[in-house]
Amino acid sequence: MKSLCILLFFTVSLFGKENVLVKITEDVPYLYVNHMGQKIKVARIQDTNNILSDDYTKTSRACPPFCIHPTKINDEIQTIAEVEVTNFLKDKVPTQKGIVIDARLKSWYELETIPSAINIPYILIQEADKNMAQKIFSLLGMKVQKSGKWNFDTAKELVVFCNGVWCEQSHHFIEGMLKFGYPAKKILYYRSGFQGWKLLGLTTVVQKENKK
Amino acid sequence: MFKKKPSIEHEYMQYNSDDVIGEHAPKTSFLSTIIRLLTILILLGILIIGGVFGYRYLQDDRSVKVVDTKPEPTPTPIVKVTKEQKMYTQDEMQAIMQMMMQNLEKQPKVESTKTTVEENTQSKEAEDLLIASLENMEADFMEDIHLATEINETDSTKEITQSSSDKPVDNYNKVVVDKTTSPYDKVDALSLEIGRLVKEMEDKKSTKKSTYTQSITKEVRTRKDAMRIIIVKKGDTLSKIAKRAYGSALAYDRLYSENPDLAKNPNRIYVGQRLRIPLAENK
Repeated sequence: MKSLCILLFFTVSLFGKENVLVKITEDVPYLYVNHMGQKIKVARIQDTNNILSDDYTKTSRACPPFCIHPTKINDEIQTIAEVEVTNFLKDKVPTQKGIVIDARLKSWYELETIPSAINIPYILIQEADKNMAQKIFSLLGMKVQKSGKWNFDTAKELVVFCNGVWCEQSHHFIEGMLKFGYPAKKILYYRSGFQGWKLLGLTTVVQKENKK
Repeated sequence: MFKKKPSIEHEYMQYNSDDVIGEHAPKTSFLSTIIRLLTILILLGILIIGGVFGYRYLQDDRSVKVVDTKPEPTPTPIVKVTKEQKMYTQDEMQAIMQMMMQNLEKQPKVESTKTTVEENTQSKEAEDLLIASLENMEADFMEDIHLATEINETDSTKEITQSSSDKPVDNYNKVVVDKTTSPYDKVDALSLEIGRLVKEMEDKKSTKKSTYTQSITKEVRTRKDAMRIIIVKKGDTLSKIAKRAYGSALAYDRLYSENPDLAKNPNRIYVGQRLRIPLAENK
């Protein structure tokens, strides 16, 4: 029994030793999130010679509509970058205080997305009436008071992204949200978007249709 | 230990005789059973560890060089020196100076290049010789870079095998998730609920789409159809190609959809063959 314990100890110490070469930030080597009931490790590609070769390496798309967008959507919406997004994934998402929103069309979302992101295509809010907006907002934690007023105190913080700096899908989404009164303070715009995410070799999720 | 030696021999004899093993078994001391157990465990452990490392080694097989559509940079051919080439612009001079500085750091290399250069351009004037040597240095310098990257590659794979304790992160870093119909947590439920709303909306307004929406749906389609073409090299197998393309040697069947000839006879690949590699997940 003793020998077994020693052996176990050695194997554990051999494999348990972890040395992440490419960390996310200096303090965060990787993190875990849930995506559709699956625990997913969000890390960067560890091969230091890796270069993007297939997806998101395209340099040119016709502008309009694929034009380069300014840093800020408007004065109220805060623009964030990858470190803020990963911190958000680490702190806000597990406690259900915040959600990462993929504002792209469903087909984009299913092709590949950021782990833990949920898909609210911009057209949903863009073409919504007040009734629909109320439905969406209440899903996002907004409460309707007895007087019929909307109370956003418990509404979730949202990180909104689309394909990147040349993509205006999050613009349409955020504009739609603001039109119906979602507090601008609770919306964060991840401008580099999915291309920025891919560029850093961060983990993505692909959805596979269950064929039965 | 030593005193027991005759008894062990005796046991050995008993073992080889026609005696029943059961009779012999209780005579072994407690210590020896422990030692036997230990050796068995250690052997087992070595076997397991060896198996794991062997498997990883096979998985991270790096001996295959990646074939890309990009042609490999070839070292620049030795330029024959003519008198017109004496005129250098300021930028060119600067570049040559930089290369010279870098080559100075690698003294042995420089010497070898100089000797080859001398052989090539013996009949030329001394001034031409210097220029020629500088130009030849460029070629060698490029080779040096190639060597450096190769060394880096081998280094980095070592680091990967060392660091991967969880699931190894491959060069695509994609996790395939099954679509669920039953919500796992609140966020999941929210996602499903919104999915339902989206579907409702799509059913309502299937014909009416803004121009922007139309153009981006087109973009999705081009991405789905996106493909890369690789050229088969000597020593390639389908599984090696699949490993390069998708990070898994078992994904070779994904190549079949775009290469119908392969589906008929997977063994028929030849050097120089162009294979179409679909990028997006097949649905």
